[in-house]
Amino acid sequence: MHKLLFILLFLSSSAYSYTNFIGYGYGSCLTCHYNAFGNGPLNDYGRALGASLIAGKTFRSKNTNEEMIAERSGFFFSRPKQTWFRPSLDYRGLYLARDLSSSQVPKKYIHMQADANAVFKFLEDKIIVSGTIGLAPEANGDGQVLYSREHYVQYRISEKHRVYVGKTDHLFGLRIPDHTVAAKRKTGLAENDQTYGLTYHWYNEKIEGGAQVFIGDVLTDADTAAKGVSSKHEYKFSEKLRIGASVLFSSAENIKRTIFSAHSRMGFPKGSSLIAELGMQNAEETIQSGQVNETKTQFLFLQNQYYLARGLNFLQTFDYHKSDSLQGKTSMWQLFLGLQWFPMPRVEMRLEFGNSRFYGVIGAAEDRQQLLLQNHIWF
Amino acid sequence: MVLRILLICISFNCFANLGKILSVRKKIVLTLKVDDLYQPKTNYDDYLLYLDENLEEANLSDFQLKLWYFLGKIDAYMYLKKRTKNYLYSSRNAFALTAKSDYEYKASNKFLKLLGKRKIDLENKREESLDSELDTSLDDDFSDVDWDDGVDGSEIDDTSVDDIESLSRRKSKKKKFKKKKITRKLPKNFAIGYSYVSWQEKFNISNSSIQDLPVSLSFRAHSLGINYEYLPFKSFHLSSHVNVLFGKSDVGAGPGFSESDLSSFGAIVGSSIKYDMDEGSRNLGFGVDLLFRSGALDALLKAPNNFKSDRESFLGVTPYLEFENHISKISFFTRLGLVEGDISWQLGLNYYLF
Repeated sequence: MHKLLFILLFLSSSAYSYTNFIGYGYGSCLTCHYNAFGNGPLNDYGRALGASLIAGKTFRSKNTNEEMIAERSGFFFSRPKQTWFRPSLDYRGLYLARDLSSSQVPKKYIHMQADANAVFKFLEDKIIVSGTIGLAPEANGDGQVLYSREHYVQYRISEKHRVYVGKTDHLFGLRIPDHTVAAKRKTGLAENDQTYGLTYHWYNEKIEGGAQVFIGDVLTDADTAAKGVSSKHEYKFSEKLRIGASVLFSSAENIKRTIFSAHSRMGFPKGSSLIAELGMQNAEETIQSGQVNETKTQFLFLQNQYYLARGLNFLQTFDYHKSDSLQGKTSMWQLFLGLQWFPMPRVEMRLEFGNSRFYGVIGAAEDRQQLLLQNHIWF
Repeated sequence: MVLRILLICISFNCFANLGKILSVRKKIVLTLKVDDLYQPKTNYDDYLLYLDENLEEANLSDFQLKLWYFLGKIDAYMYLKKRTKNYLYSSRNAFALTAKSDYEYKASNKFLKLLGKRKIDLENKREESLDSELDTSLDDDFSDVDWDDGVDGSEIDDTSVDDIESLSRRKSKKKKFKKKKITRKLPKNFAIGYSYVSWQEKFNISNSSIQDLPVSLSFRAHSLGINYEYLPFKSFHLSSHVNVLFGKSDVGAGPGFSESDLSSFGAIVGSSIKYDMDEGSRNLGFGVDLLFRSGALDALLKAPNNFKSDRESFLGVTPYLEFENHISKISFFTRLGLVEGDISWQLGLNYYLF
């Protein structure tokens, strides 16, 4: 028993971790993820912690203790037999009902993510190779396409310095699973907008951040691949308070973007948290006539996570954007209220009610409501 | 068991440097500090009383107890190395918790004795002759540990164990434990605040050619206000606020008529009852707001539209739920209500002055 705890505490490179888990005191993504900026597969510590600290006890036998749960947190309930190979599977599905007030409510089920991942670790985790392949929804249709959201090689220069070469998410802003919010959708940083590039990560006692040089997803679509640079840094005021800023410049064949944002992450007792990102983008898009359409966008993302019981959180999300372009000014506020439930290790469910309110040149539009039921399973 | 503990302590030296141990300690502390039981700086006697009142309710799992036990060992080891009171207090409290939880009972008591505290008697353990066992096993297992090595007299408590025991007993008789969860007096009462407000209204307009055309009005505004908190009662207190609103409205009646960004102003007066969660760092409230909006409809009422409206301004009542998070003198709050069947919201910041 001690041996397991010892291995867990000492040998893991660094929970199942979302950005708002700073409420549990985990401010750095590096603690639980192989990728120091978050997203992608969890390391051993992250898997064990997610199973033993985050997941609820509702369906747990009285004879099962936290240590047994942590011990079964490996791939398909196993305890890793070696230190160099970590496979994982990840699935997210979404039931979406839009325009609840209309007579014919459009409903559909979307397989958002069905990924298989393998992580290979060499030289005492100095070199880590991670690759993910899976099915993703087609951009303009109901079908699925084979897609790799990330594959990279990580080299640990020293304890506090790492570089990543390969395909990863853009280094910008808060990394959140809410990919439909304006901070992601309006900035070209959504769920399938990963890029090839070179990413550098560093940290010290107070500051964590990095920089990225990227060339877009040149293997999938070289014509529209956006090249550029970005940087993101956070200052740690305390274990539960981080303030950060990001900047990104990118240029593609028909669009140039400059994006700035500031964000904050605050943790409160028992796992509650408040995360926010406020930013602006200037996009110059060359349209077919050769004319340049300049769009200025301001966006705000704010998520309040309230701990209700172990494994159960109340989520309150505000999403705002205001766009000013040749087509006029429009703005939208979205409010999501929901429950996030981790009923058992490896399972997350999220039920949310959304209300969208539009302001703009078309005058007042009726609010639109939507219902989202998300399930997330990983092995 | 003690031999195993000693082995672990020694093993720290063998293949893990101090930095590694501290990083492990940090992980354990991160896991434990979400719980109110984590009070490393609390005086030992106070902490014992706190455990008496709260330990049973906490219902700790084996895994959590194991982490507490592990923390106690690390801090005892760190105390041995650094001789600072923080590690001493933290270690004593951790072993008090595990001993009182009957987890590694004997070993925890042995550590407590080594750390200058008397053993903790549990009802079902009283019959065991622990003392003799302690004396022999401690002599055996810790004979090579020099607890006074490098001692700075100002930092360590070198009073004899017997003296400490009697002192502790006297102190515990005199002291009354103050339960820390309920704050009866609100730390700050008066706040000024900024917030952003939005709601939607529905009404009908008519003119000579159209009768009872349904209209939607979306109102959003910046708001300045004051907030006052009063009458604390157990974990509840009352709160009232007054806000003035300066904003814009969009008015639309389908494709036939719409106007945007019409200047509007308004006010909110409201009261709520708030539940203080987590020692007042979070509030959950339920209240009622009186909403007022004016302006915006001039464009409809004037030529060429010449509409008549059954409403020129709006006065309504909305029940709302409030969520509030406090950091120092600042609080972030959201209020969600219902106005004429649609959601109204207010999100903002309060700065508590006094």
